[in-house]
Formats: sequence, structure tokens, C-alpha cells
Amino acid sequence: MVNKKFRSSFKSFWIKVKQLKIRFAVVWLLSLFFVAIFLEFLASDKPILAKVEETWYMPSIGETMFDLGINERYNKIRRVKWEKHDEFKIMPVVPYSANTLDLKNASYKGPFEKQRVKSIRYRHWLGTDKIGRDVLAGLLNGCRLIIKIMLIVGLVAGALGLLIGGFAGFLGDRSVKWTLSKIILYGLGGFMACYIVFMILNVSLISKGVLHIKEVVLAIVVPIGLFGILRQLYRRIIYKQIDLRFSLSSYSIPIDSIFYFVIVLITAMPVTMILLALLGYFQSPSLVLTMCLFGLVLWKNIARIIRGEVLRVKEQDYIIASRQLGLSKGRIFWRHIFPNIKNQFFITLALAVSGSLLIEASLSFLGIGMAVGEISWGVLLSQGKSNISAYWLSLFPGILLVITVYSINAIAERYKKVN
Amino acid sequence: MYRKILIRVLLFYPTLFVLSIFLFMLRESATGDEVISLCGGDIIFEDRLYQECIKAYDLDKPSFYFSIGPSFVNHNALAAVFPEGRRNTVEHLLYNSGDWQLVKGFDSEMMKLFTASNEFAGDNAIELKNLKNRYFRGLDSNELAVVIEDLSTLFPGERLDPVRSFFGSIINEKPKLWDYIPSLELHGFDNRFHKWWRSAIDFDFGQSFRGRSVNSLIKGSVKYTLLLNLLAFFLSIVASIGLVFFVNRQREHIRNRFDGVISMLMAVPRFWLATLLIFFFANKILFPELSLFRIGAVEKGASVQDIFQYLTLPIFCLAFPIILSIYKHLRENIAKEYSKQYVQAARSRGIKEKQIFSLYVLPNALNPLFTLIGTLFSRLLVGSVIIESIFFIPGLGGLLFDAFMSNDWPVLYALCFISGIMTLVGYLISDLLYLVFDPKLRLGGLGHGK
Repeated sequence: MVNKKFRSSFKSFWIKVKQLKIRFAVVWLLSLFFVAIFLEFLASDKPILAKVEETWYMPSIGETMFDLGINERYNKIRRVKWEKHDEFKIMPVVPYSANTLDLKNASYKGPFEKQRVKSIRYRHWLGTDKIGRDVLAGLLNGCRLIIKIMLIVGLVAGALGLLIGGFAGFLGDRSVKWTLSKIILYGLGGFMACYIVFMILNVSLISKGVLHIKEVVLAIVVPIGLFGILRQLYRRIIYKQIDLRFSLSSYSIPIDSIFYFVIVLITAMPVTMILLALLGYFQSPSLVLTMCLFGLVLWKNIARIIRGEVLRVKEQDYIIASRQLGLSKGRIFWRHIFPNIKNQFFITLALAVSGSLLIEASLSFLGIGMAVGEISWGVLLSQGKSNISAYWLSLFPGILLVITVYSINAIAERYKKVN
Repeated sequence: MYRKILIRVLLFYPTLFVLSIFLFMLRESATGDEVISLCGGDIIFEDRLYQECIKAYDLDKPSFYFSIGPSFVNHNALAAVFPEGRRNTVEHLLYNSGDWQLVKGFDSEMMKLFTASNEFAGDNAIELKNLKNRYFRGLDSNELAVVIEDLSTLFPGERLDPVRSFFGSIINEKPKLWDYIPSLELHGFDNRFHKWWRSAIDFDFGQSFRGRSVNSLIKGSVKYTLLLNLLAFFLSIVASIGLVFFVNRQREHIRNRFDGVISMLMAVPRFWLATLLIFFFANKILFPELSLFRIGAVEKGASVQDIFQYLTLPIFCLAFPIILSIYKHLRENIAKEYSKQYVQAARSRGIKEKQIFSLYVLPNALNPLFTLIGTLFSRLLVGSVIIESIFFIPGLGGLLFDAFMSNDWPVLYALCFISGIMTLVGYLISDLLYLVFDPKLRLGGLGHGK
């Protein structure tokens, strides 16, 4: 039953893909996903399956599992030298990890040059770099990084853009009306929340030197609790005793103007420069942090377009009708507005993500941004810069990058044409 | 439209202000002793030079117009504690005890002990110096206890008593909960941010960490960047419009094929193109002297052939993505214009296709390009970072890259600031161009703004 349903939904998806003529792009991105997930089975210096002292192991993914703390028994085989191991073993397709140093073939061995390997199985099909790392393994590892980048940047930029653009467009300048007492209460509450969070983080950083998980949880929980208390205080006491009794007039909060001002401000700032300054401040940040920074910088286009779309959809009759029917704001937004702006949202998100891939590659090319030891396509390209005659270091990653960016752009473009 | 321009002009200084607050915050929280970087390497805290440096660059002033914090923190006095590690120690003790007088007393007693170095000789003097360096590098209270124990071997007897008593009471005290109630401390205009912002507005960015003033560094390299970018800019506009003319004369299916190729080329990053071009073209026949961009060759009256040698590939790389994006915009606009009724009317009057295109459609299609020109203006510097570092051109981009690599904050932030100004000016220019070239807006008709 489930199988049938899945198959039919897959069929309709594939028909749509065929209609849009984006077969190649979709297959390419799916294969990137495939490589990213099954990287350990494709490129690793440890065997997929091996027999050590009459016990079966799967060392290539066992290592990852051991790092995650799932499988303790791989501790025993950490020091086994797999190259000389002559019991039963199945090596992956590429018998090198991205970081494996093959010192016999160091200093730029090309794909067609003579290599010092013990069998054709161990040949570097796409050459090596300066310290003998296999380029093909690096490319496959780069697939995983590219997928990570796409996911994190898409998540951060998409969430920020959708939230801010949606809020600005949907709430507008006039729909939120607060009485003076509510403005003062919530303003003070917001200030206090900021101050408390700052104090919790700052005091623990200064007096203990490190940030424990307890403080981070506290810094998230305390402001939420504070706003809960303030909300109850306003509803139960202030609203009934002051606002109703004196019939205070209410002021509209110009949420749209405020958010639009923020968007204009950020548009005026040079994005890549800010990114450079931030990366310089964090001093070799981790991959996830770098990608979060990318997302923090790239949300503004999404927010602007979402705002425009929401403004357009908001005036439609069915939205006015649902408002008259008394549906809640959240329901109107998620059930009636969001399905109508979904396509536009994903198109801009795709463009932002492909842009971030290019920015990442060019920053890694300059030797900025990517954490030390991570081999991405940009890092391979930067090695190609330092030795121009090693064409395999700049040709293959470049082609992969161009195809990836092109497929994302092509999907977005075709979608735009259809809608 | 006028309203939009007015908003842009009014937002100019606030935007710059917010940008510089942001940059200043980053700079303040960057690690490393700024005094030592400013005065060039190996001076130490005792040097009179160090104190003069602090005075000269106003580093002992508070950093912003006001500060909000717990009531026991005296930001004004804290800013004057140097070097940075010592300030961290003092801040750490302050947040643990919540009593400024105690911490101040402890710090001054410690400094008294450290300045008594002329009483010692040989190993003891070195030992004292080591202890002082540890204190100046920033310690927490456990490490401080160890340092005080080590000091007791140097200072036997009563001389260590005040330090011990201060330290004991600091350890025993804890700030009360109501001490954390925020208190506002105003510093007025006599703060570092105000000075930095005032001088940045006047384009005076102070001293680079590498000894020269930031202004002279920028002045030395701005001409290469300007030359490159202006040429690339003209090339891209001419080439894209030429391409559009060329493509428009072809048959339909060729046109579509061409558009497909262009959108594939748009995925080609600049730096990869540059690497490939160098690999294929920088050989003995075509561009032999490419990798040796001689500094000053441009202004010392180099021959046209030389300049051509140096600049062709970088300019092509800079212009390449711009050509593609302008081309794409133009094609989209032209398709949009062709579907309008005035084209049909012109056709029915028997005007030739060529004339319709060049006299009716193209001028209308060019209008939305001005936004693109505005954004291009802002992207000039960023684009040249990569190209200049590949082709070894000593321009602004290379300067930015070097500043980033050597953590040279003044240069980095000066360039960020200039880039921000250029972005704002670019947007303003594009709005003004709209106003000049679009009669609909000039006559006060349908505006693009609200």
C-alpha cells in the first residue's frame, strides 16, 4: 500500500521533471546526495568489510560510528594497518580518504603519469596534489561538503527570509495595534530580556572562561519565560484594570516599515566584505559556523521577494474572506498565503544557495573560510592556483562546481518560466 | 520616485552609522593587543612608548557613548587598565566579587610588587618578570592563587600581606543579585567610537598595523583598481549590447540555443575562468609577461602593447560575469517589450524590423539596467579581490586580501567602510539615472516606488 503510494508519487514527480526538461539537473543533484550519504562506501582508506581475528568488521563506517559514540568495539581495530592486512577485506571503489597522504606519489602526479602504486586498484585516476592526496577522493568528499553547505545555508537563509519577509508583508503597518501600556510593558520586557541574556552569557564567559550548556539553555529559557509572565500580566491585570477602564487609545506598530528599513540597511552593506570581516573576527571558524554566517548574510533577497509576494497575495479575495471568517493569523499565513508564495520562495532560495556555493568556492580558493583539514572543491581549486601546470587540480573540481551551480540555476529558471 | 531618492539620501548617514557601529564592534572584540600591533611589534608594557601610544591613540578612553552593565562595573575606569590581559584579569575578579574598590586595591598592590624589579638580580629578576607576564596575559582566580604563591618565595615577610588580604576578601565575596540591576553610564562624546567615526567620515582611517597610514596605502593602490574596473565596466556594457545586437539578427532556434549556453556560462565562477585562461593563454606567444605585473609600469609611460599585455586577461575575467548578467537582463526585457502593443502598431505602419528594434525596443529595454549598474558599482571592489590576487596586481583588492590575511583591522575596516559608501552612492546613482532616462518617472507618472 505504502509502496504503491510512494511509487505513484514518484511517478508524478518524474513526469513533472520531464515536462520541465530538468531531468539532467535533478539526476545530478540526486547523485550528489547519493555520494554524500554513501561516501564511506565510495572513498575511504579503510575497507568496507574486513575480517580481523575471526571477527567481521565494517571499518569504513565503523570509524564514523565510533566518533558518534555508538559502536565501542571498533576501538580494537583502530591501529590495524589496512594496507598490509592480508585477511579477507573489500576495499571501497576509491581506496583513499580525502586526507590520506600517499607520500610515494606526492608532488602533483597527473592522471596519465606513471604512478608508484602496487596495483591498478590503487591508482590515482585523477592524479594527486602536492602532499599526495587523491583528487578523486577529494572530489567525492567535496560532494558531502557541498550538500552540507546547501542544507545549512538553505535552512538559515530560508528560515530568516521567510520569517522576516512574511512578518513584514503579512502584518503590515496597520494591523498590529497596541495600547500605550502594552508598548511600554513589552518594550521594557524586551530590553530586560536582552540584558538578562547578555548578562548570563557575559558573566559566565568572564568569570568562568567557558560557556556551559547550562548557561545557553538558561539564556534561551529565561527570556521566553519572562515574555510568558508579561503576557499573562498584561492580559489578566493591566488590560482589564487599566486599558479597559480608562479606554486608552491604541497605536499601530509599523512592523513593515521597521523590517523594510532593516532590509534596506543590509542591502546597503557590502555583503562579501561583511562576510570577510566576520570570518576574520572568528579566526578560522568551523564549517557549520561559516555556513551559518553565509545564511545570516544571504537572507535579504529572499526576505524582500517574500515580502512583495505576501503583499500581493494578501489583497486577494479569499484571504479577506478567511479573515472575515475569523481564522487565526497563523492559520491564514500557513494554510492560505504560504501555499501561494511557495514556488517563488523556493526559486529565490535556490538562487541564494547556488550563490552561496560560488561565494564559498571563491573564498576557499583564496584560502579563507573553509576549516583546516576540510577538502572541498574550492580547496582543490586553490591548490590548482599555486601550481598552474597541474591542470587536473583546477579542471575537475571546476567542472563539477559549474555543473552543480548550473543545475540549481536551471531548476529555478524553468520553474520561474512555468509559473 | 522623488520620494525614493529622498529616502535614500536621508538614509545615507544612518546607514553608514550603523555600518560603522557594526565594524567597530567587530574590531573591539577582536583578540590581540592593539597597542603592540599599532606601535609595531616588540615593545613591552614598561616602555614609555607604550604609554605614549595609549595616549596618542586614545586607547584608554571608553569605547562607546554609553555603557549599560551591572552597577559594580566602572566601565570608564576599566577602559584605562592596560594591557588587555591585565584588564581581563581585573574584569574576571570584578565579576566574581562585585566590589570595584577591592579589585582596584588588589590590582594596584600587584603592580607595586611588579615595579619593584630593581631590588632583584639574576634568576629572581627573571622569575618576577615571568610572573608579571603571566599576570598581563590574563588569569582566572585559581591561576592567580598560584601566582601569589610563587610571589611569596620572592617577597618573604609582610610585603605580600596586603595582596593576600585583598585576594582573600575578593575570593570570599560574591555579588548580590540586585547588583546585577542594569545601570547606565554616560561617557559623552569623548569616546573612541566617536573619534573613529568622525575621522572615518573625513576619510582619515588612522594607522595601519604595518606601519604606514591607511590613507597612503589606499592612495598607492587605488589607481590600479580604478583602471581595471573602469575598463572592465566599459567593456562589459559595450560587449553585452553588441552581443544582444548580434543575437537579435539570428534565427529563433539559434537564439534560444545561445541563451541556453549563456545561462550555462553564468555558472562559471570568475576565479576558475582566470585559472583556465592563465593555463591556456599565458604562454610564450600570447601573454608572456602576464605573471609579472611590474609596479608602476602603467604610469611610467608604458607602451600600449605593454598595457594590453598586462590588462587583457584580468579585464576579461572581471567583465565576464557582468557581460553575461547584463545580456540576460537585456534579453528578458526585450522579450517583454516585444509583447507590447506599440511594437505591433509600429509594424502595422510598415516600419522595418531593424528600426523597430534599435529605435523602439532597445531604448525601452535599457531602462531597467540602471538598477544593475548601481549594484555593479558596489561589487567592483569585491570582484577585484580575487582577480587581483590571481594576477598579482597591487590594487585595492590585493590590499584587502593582505589585510585579511595579516589581521590588519584598520585597513580591513577602512576598505569595508569605503565599500559601504560606494554601495550607497551606486544605488543613488542608479536612482538618478532612472530619473534622467525614464520619461515616465520624470513627468511624475507611474513610479517604481510606492
